[in-house]
Formats: sequence, C-alpha cells, structure tokens
Amino acid sequence: MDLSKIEFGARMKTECFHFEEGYIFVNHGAYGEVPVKIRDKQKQLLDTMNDNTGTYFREVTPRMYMEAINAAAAFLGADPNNLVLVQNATSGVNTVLRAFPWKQGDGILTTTYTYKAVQNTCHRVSQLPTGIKVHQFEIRFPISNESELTKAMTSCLDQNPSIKLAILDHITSPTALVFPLKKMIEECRKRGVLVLVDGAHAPGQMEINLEELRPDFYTGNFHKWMYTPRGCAFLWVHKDHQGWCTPLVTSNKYKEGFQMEFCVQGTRDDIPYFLIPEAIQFYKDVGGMEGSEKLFLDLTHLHKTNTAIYCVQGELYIRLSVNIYNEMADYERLAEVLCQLPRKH
Amino acid sequence: MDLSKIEFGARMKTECFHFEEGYIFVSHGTYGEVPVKIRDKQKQLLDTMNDNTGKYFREVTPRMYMEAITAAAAFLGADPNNLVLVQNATSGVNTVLRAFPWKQGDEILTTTYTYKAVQNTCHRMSQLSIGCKVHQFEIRFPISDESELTKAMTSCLDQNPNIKLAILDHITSSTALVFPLKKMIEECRKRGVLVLVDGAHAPGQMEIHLEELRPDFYTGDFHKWMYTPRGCAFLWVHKDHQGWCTPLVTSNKYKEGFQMEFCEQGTRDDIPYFLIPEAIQFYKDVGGMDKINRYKRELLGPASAMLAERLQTRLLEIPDSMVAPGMRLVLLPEYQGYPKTVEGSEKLFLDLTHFHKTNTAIFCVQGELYIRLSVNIYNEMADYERLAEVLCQLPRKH
Repeated sequence: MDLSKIEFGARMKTECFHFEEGYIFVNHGAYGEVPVKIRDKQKQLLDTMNDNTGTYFREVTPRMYMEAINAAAAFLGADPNNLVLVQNATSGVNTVLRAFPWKQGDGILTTTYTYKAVQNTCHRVSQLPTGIKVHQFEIRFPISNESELTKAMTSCLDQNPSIKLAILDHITSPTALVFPLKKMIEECRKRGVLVLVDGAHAPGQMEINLEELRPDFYTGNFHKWMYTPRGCAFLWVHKDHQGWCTPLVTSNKYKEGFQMEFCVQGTRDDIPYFLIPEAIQFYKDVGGMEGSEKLFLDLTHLHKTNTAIYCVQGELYIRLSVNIYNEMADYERLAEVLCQLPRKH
Repeated sequence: MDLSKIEFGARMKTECFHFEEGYIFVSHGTYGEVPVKIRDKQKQLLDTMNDNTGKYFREVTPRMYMEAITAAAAFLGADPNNLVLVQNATSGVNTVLRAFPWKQGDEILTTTYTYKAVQNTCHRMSQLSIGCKVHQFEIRFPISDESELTKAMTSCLDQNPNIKLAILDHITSSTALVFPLKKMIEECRKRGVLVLVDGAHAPGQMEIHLEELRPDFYTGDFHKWMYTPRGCAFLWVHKDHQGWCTPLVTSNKYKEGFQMEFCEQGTRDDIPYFLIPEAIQFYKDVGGMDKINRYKRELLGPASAMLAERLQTRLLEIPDSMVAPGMRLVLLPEYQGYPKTVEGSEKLFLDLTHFHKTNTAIFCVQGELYIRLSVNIYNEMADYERLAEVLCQLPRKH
C-alpha cells in the first residue's frame, strides 16, 4: 500500500485509521491519534515481550531504544547524545525543574498561557525550601505582531534580573500560538537566562532543528502529532547541563551517564518509544511536513486552533485541530452541533 | 473454561500462558509473566482507547482507575484512600524519598542487600544540598533465626539516632529472604523511625494486610507475582504523610488531593493499572493464594534440593520462616570464565540467556555466585531438570 497515494480526508480515515462510529473527531491536539498500522505493531511487540521477557529486556530493548533515539534525533535535527525519551512533555518539564540546581532567590519565567501542568510544577518547585519565585509575562489578544511577545518577555526579564530560567512554548496549548522562538532564545541568552522550551505540540507541526535552535532544554511529544502510541515524548538537554539533569526515577543505571540513566526507569512498558521509527516513517509516507502544509492550506479559512474549549480573556473559544484524516465534512458536522446549542440573548 | 480445574504445570502452561518455544523459564521473579487472557484484554483496551480517545480519557479512565484502586485495596487489606498506583516499586521508592521533607542531619537506613536501584536512590538523596547520610546494617549468611536480622537492625538504629527512615524489604530481590516485618516495624516505631517497605516481590507470594501491618509507606509490584502487564505497582502511604507525599510528576491535578494528584501523570498509557481487577480475578480463579503457594512450595523444595545435589553445592542457608514461597537461591560451583563477582554474575546471566536459551537470575552473595530459582503455576520439575543439565555442563574451574 503506497501511503502517499491515499487522499487525505475520508479515505485516509478509513484506510489508515480506525475510530468509533458516530463521533466527530476534530480534537487531534488533545491526545493524538494512532494509525492502525502502528497499533498492530504495538500489539506485536507486546507479544514479543510477553513470550520471552528475558531476551526482550536484555537483548531486544537496548537495540530498539537506540534505534528510537537515532530516528528521533535525525528527525529533530539533534545530536543523539543530547536526546533522551520520556513519557510526555509534562514529565520532560518536571525532569528539568526537579533536577535543576536552584539557588536561593532564583526566579522562573512563564507566561499567562503556560500549560497548566507546567505552571503547577513551577508552583510546586517554588514551595521547596530553596523557595524560588515564579514570574509570568502577559500575553494579550489580539496580537498584531510576534515582536509584541518578545517585548513582553524582555520587559519582564529586565525588571526581574534574578530570573534564571524561562519556560517558553513552541506552540501554546490553550491558544495554539506559535512563539518566535529563535528571537526569544537570543534575548534570553543575552541576559544569561536559560531556556526550557515546552514543544509538546511541535513535532509534526513545526520544522524542528534542535542543534540549530540551541535552547538549553526542549521537550516535545511524539504522541500528539507524530502518530505514536501514548506515553512517547523526548527531552533534549544541552551538553552543559547533562551532568546534573538526572531523571525523575533513579534506577539501576545510576551514575552510568546521561543516556543510560534515562533509559531504565524501573520495569515498565516502553513500547511506545520503540514505535518512533515506524511513526516517523508513516509521517513521511503520507507526505511529511509538506503533506501537512498542503492540508492546512486547503482549509485556510478554518483557524488552526485546537478543540477543547478554553477561556481566554473572558470569552470561550473552541480549539479546532485538523489532520490528514479530516475533511470539510467533519467541520460542517461540528458547526451543526455548535449552531444548535441554545444561546443566551 | 473453569480455571480452577486446570492442573498446574504443563497443562496450565499450554492452556493459559504463551512462551517462546525452546526456552527454559525458571525466573518468574525477574519480570513476571502475563497470562494470555490478560494480554488479550490489554489489546482490547488499547483499541478502546485508540478508537475514541476523548471518551476514553474523560469517561472510561476515571472509572477504571477507581475500580483498580478498589480491587487492589481489597486484595491488600488496605483503606483505598491510602493507596495509589505507580509504574513499579522503584518509582514508589523514588516517590517517597524525593518528596520526603528531609532536614539537615537526617539519615536513612538500608541493608547490604537492599535492591540496587533503591540503594542508588538513597545515594542520590545523600548528594542533595540537604545531604542525608545513608547507613546499612549487615545481613550475613548463614542465618539461623529471623531475630538475627532484627537485632542487626536495632543495633544500627541505636548507634545512629539520627536515622529518620528505614527501608526494609518484604522479600529481598537478590537473596529471596523474607523479613520479619511486623517485629522490625515495631522496633522502628519504638525509636520514632519511619518505615518504608520495599515489597516488590510480595503481592502474590505473601499475605499482605497493610492497615494491620501499619508501616509508614509500602510499595509493591503487581506485575511480578500477580500477572498484570508491566508497569503496574502500588504505593500505600499512611494518612499522616499524605500531605507532603506528592508524585514524581506534578500535573493538572496539583493540590486536588492525594488520590487525584497520583492518578494523572501527563498523557500516557495506564492500561496495565486497569488490568488489576482482571489479574486478581485470574489469581483467585486458578485457586488463590493457598493453592498457588502450596504448589510453589511443593515444587520449589524438591527442585532446589535436586539442583543443589546435581551441582554438589547447597542452598543459601536461611531458616524456614524466611524462605519465600516462590524463590530460592542455590549455590553455583565456580565456573571457568565467570569470576565470583557482580560482573561475573552479569556475564553468566547474559550467556545463559543468549547461548543456552535459559532465562535466569544470577546473584553474587558473600563472594559466591548463586542462581535464584523461581517457581510458578506453569512450571514443573522437568523445567528444573533441564536447567540442571545446562548448569552441570558448564566447564568448572578446578
């Protein structure tokens, strides 16, 4: 089956995906979706693991983990030595913030639309005996130019010189806003502020070249827009910080180096990681970044916001997602639903 | 299919399990095994999740999580409010140690046979700015009475009054030794020392009544001796500590309470947790703890004795009260090419897997190599006879 020949939309939906009948699926951004091909491979690997755990954990797993890291690194423009796998971007953020060598008086910078779990983690860290302070710079809509964002950030940095780490989204979750990262990282670096990028939504939507972008840390999900099963994400850490950036769980590979420490987190099912090469291949087979762009262009009059309902500046918004298994008919059905809801007049 | 009518041994293996042909499986304790019935249910749940994630994560998951907690709590004699799920006992230990409100000068107590990952975690804690010191009390073999262990612990506690937390195994991993927990917890409590029990191997082997046992923390695996898929364990935390005992990942349920915080750790696959009720049911359907443990004991005794005789060695010398139902250490002769060290044990283990299609666990104890035998309901004597052939053929160092 030549995947590049399958039209996006309804045909893609029936040939490569499988969804429950009768539901409208316009919320890809929330949990991602897994093509049947990848789902089948996951079940095969479960059988491989369960039929012979000895060979699986001692021989098969190390090989598959390395293949996953290499495929992910190539895809993300990363040096594989700087890349480890984690279960989700939230864990990636928690890893950095928990391991960070905070000093008394350090500050963290977030925004008013930082993902809730990330904001919560900053808050938790601020409650530790070291007691760091959490600052937020405001994002207000409408935004006419991306420089407004950079300005809001640099203002805040200049007013609060004790800020040690800035957490910036690549694409925000509630407002689906793409940050001008290269510029913002530059401004942070000028001021000696480290940058952790929350790129949960970026892999599969944005071109990512990590060595070039050169943040200090970058975490992103493969299970959102890159078609892997759930529990599959990465954390990229600049060499300068690998000495102290240790995983959430200390296990048998303690002190055996950055890569080794992250790859063993106790006994668990890491099969989602091992499907990264397969998922990247699927993504390429259906047309890759260009395929996605073509689809987005075909539907330009629909805003690429995410579904789920969010409250932004006192108004409710629906966040729409589009993906290769969607077509206009899906959004027409959605529109019917939304138009029928009784309004307050 | 009435599971209780299936004989343990070869019949149970073919009817309820599925293993790769040509391999010897005598090491259940290492990774556990998952019956076909549970494997099939896991695949069904994967489909349920993938066919409709919205419904799955918002409606199905909260229900299944509560059912899992409730079933686990009933099985473990626990108040469900004190129980949360984690991916493995290592994570359970990390959770407690990382969240613990250490003060300058606090110290931790472990033993010379504390599981390596747990020892490593204590060591990592000692490197933090608070820098807690880690003590170990020594366990030496032969052991003639369990009171020797308790004595070694209390000596160490009395000599080091700054010890704040003691980490005790229910059954050790590398020596398959059952601790006299009730007594040891009593002695710790007398001295104001908190107790974290590493019960990784206990569920499915030992009778556990958490509210009665009353440690401060207890973590155990369901994916070892309770037939769930991997990535399924629990952490029990006494009410007094739930205020500060927060999970490794802070997520969307921050400050919503002990239960809520642990049940969400970012987006991931928690299906192994949801198979706890099914696994407990399977365990009961095949006969429950009495029948299962009787079978294990009646096989383990003769199997380990046979192996020791064939190898002309002996068993690790421990009293009957400290023998685990499903695991036992048998001394290995000195083999050529496998020094009696941790590295030697690793090499032997890998070679047995790779060259002899035998899944085992090899440990170095007091300068000797031992094989840790496991027995389970799909094993029978023939498995251990095949193992004996393999081990007898390896060239010895004389």
